[in-house]
Amino acid sequence: MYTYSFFDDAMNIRDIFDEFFTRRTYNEPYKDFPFVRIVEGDDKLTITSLMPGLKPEDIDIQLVNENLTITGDKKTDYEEKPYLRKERFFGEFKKSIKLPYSVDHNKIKADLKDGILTVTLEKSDDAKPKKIEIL
Amino acid sequence: MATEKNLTHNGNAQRTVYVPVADIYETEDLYSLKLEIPGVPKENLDISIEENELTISAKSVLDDAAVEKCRYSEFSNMDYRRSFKIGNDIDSNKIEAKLENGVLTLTLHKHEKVKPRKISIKQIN
Repeated sequence: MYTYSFFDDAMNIRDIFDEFFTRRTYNEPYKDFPFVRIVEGDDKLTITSLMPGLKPEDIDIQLVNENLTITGDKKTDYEEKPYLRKERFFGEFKKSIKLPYSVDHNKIKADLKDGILTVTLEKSDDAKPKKIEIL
Repeated sequence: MATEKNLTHNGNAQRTVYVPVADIYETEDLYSLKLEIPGVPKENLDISIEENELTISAKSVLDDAAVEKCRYSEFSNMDYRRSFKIGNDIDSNKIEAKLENGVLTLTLHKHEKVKPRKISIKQIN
């Protein structure tokens, strides 16, 4: 069953306005870059990020408390040539991810392959449920 | 989680075909294309030319493992496809492709006969 609600249409208008005002103009930094994905397994988090054209030395990953921050600089590889098309993004970027629990600092792995960054984190023992014995 | 934008979908992994972004330049004797296709190993990449159309299709290794849960995602499991119309000035036997850090570089050489040629002038005394 469908009930017409005025608010649905009102929300559409809101989305149109939001899109108009958040649209990227030419010189603005590309806020969305890099795209990330967070996958959760058993006491394990995997963060995947699309980073084409980046080298390991261009990326800096930091963990402060439960915030993982990925910063980097994608350097331009433009040559002195007459370009017909320039669609790729270059520049500095920063992305912070709030982790759902604290992680073991000694078991963090980061790997960059074929333009995909994979960060593997494991839940710290403090964050795991602990059974307390009653004496 | 971190932001409001949440595009997670459970279980059935959807694959989306993306149009990869490209940088193209042209010089006197070649065209150079750079496309961003993160997550594609060399064997999943297919480049073909058919009737003046250059098609690049690729399959990324991204896949949701069934046991794990996707909590937040700003992209879906993707395949890439993009076609370019090319003129008959390109020598289809002389195309070089290089894949590095998720960036594909294609070099399309032009036919010898369309390249600018310098005509030497013989001087006769």
